[in-house]
Amino acid sequence: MIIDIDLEKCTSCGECDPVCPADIIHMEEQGGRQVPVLKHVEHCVTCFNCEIFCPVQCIDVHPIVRRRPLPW
Amino acid sequence: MLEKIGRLIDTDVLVVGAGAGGLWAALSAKRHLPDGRVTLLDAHMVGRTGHTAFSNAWMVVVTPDDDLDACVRDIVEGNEWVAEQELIRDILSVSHFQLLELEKMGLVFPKENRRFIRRPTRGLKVTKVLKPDGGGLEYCWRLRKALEAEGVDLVERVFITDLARDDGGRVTGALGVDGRTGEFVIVRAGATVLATNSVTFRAGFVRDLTGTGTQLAYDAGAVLTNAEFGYLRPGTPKFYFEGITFAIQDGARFVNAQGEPFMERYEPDWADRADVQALSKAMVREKKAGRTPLYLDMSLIPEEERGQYLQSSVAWMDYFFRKLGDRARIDMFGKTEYYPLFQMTKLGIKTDAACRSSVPGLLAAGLAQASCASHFAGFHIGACNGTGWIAGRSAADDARRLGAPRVSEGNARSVEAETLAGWRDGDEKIDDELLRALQTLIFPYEVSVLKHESRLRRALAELDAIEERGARSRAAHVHGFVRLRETRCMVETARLMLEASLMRRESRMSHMREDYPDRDDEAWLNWILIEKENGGRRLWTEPIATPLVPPPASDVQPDR
Ligand SMILES: Cc1cc2nc3c(=O)[nH]c(=O)nc-3n(C[C@H](O)[C@H](O)[C@H](O)COP(=O)(O)OP(=O)(O)OC[C@H]3O[C@@H](n4cnc5c(N)ncnc54)[C@H](O)[C@@H]3O)c2cc1C
Ligand code: SF4
Ligand code: SF4
Repeated sequence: MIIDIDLEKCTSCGECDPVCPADIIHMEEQGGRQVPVLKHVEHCVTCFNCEIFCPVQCIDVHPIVRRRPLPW
Repeated sequence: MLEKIGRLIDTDVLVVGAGAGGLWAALSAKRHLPDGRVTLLDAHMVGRTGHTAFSNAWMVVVTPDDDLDACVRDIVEGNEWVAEQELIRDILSVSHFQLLELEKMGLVFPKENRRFIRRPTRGLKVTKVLKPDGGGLEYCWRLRKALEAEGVDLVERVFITDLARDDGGRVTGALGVDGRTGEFVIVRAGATVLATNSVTFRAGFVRDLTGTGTQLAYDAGAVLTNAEFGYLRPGTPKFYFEGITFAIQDGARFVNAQGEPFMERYEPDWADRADVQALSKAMVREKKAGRTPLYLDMSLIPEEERGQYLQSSVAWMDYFFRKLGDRARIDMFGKTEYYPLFQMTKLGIKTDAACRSSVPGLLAAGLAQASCASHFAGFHIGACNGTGWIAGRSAADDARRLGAPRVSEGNARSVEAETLAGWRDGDEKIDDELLRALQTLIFPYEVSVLKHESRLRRALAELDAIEERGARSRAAHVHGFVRLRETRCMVETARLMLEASLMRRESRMSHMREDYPDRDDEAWLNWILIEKENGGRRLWTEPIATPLVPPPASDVQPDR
């Protein structure tokens, strides 16, 4: 589950937004610059795409997945 | 004027879904219709999404040195005959050409002495698989670059909600929304290929991603099949472990609560090396015998070999293990409970060997197409490659042959109105609630893994309430609307899965009936076909054609 973006390191490049297959990261205007904003994080599929493709490594995805009902 | 209703895209061939099936369908359509317009559309970014991007991309390839007929037989027998034989042959026949094309795109397949390094795959006797460096992400990216170079138009972030049809019933394109802005989109197309994968019930990790194309095809009148089959695999909710095959080769075994290895009891020939479905079935039998919890005992793997299991050539899995740190080692080599997990349905669009559905103008590729009921490790991508190529070629022909497509304004307007109403004043949490209810109904092993008439009937009755609630619901925003549409598709798929499971009164591959435990070739060498009818549905059976690999009964020589 995506947990954190370090906005101080973020260069506003926007790479992380389109590569997310769950539509979690939205580039939005904040304080006069574009920043990645997280929405519906509970739908993150923990694919790490955002972290893999962030050129300055300022995204931290945690290896946690939401529990779903087990077969028994 | 359609332009006034939404963003209008005109194309000769539309491909929906940019996984392996869709990427190849688009390339093939363009190669077969070089002067025509080909559009590849996805709800997300082409080259970075779909199950394909997150896979290892092991793929079945039959080279000129291999015995094609033996490989066809292998896959048909591995499928216990639930396979489109001619299509399987055609898929395998183009696989080597496609491998060479992928190499030309710059994808690297490891070689030794100038020969591809290939290896066997679980459950198949002679057919071999190989994989590219960089796995699915690199595979998808190279194909995307090739499509751009060859002039295929890419449309991203558009989620298709409906297929357009003309008065004669031909599919003439698709309608949908921009998943971010909510803009309504109309695509008018001579031929439409659905390559949207099959349906998952958000089984966890990247299998939370699902596809809705089978539902779109069904709503447009196409025939579906294989609803009673699913993809089962042993797994743990703690991490996604792709390396089970290698671990078993290195000495790992499944053991029960008493610490006894149990696979030999059920699979004397293969034991732990059996296919994932056979492993899953054996796990269920251990459960019935009261011998759970079950574990993957990795203690026999020597210390110096262990590190390799905590890394992966698939980027997301590698990050996962790295981030888990010591926890990964403790969980993997310690006592972590394993379960037979239902990953997704095998429901697909029934087509002919040219990948044409029963509806004119509509074709299918990838796992949205029902080529067979079990794909092993490597024939998922293998089948997607081949059906993509074949569907793209047929779509190019159809676009030429069927003439200019017509999308009626009235139809577009009513879909637009329904779509826009779908996220007005809705409920923020409705999708998650419905999904949870559906998973709670479907995931128990006594419903989706070991089936029985009484339990299937009970599940169907409970599904009614979920379906009713879903039909009444509206989302709070376009993101929720897309999720809700996906969930409704899952609910409808669950219904087809339960009904087809009731109908097939035997056990075959992943379809395991407690009340009909044996395979019955006499009565059940049949497809169960499904189509929409008068607000309900019609299920019927048709014999599986066996033009290349004779049915199993004919192997037995009659006693004269
Ligand atoms: C972790 C993992 C590892 C795997 N490893 C292997 C392997 O090594 N070998 C192998 O053979 N198989 C493997 N598989 C299985 C294989 O990846 C899939 O079966 C295969 O990639 C399916 O391809 P596809 O083209 O049918 O669908 P996908 O790749 O899932 O693509 C479908 C696309 O359709 C889009 N879509 C769906 N509905 C809509 C809609 N309504 N509107 C717009 N777009 C839509 C989706 O966004 C998606 O991009 C693996 C799977 C996983 C999850
Ligand atoms: S991990 Fe994947 S799904 Fe989650 S936010 Fe990042 S890109 Fe999106
Ligand atoms: S990819 Fe990294 S640097 Fe670029 S916008 Fe996203 S978080 Fe910021």
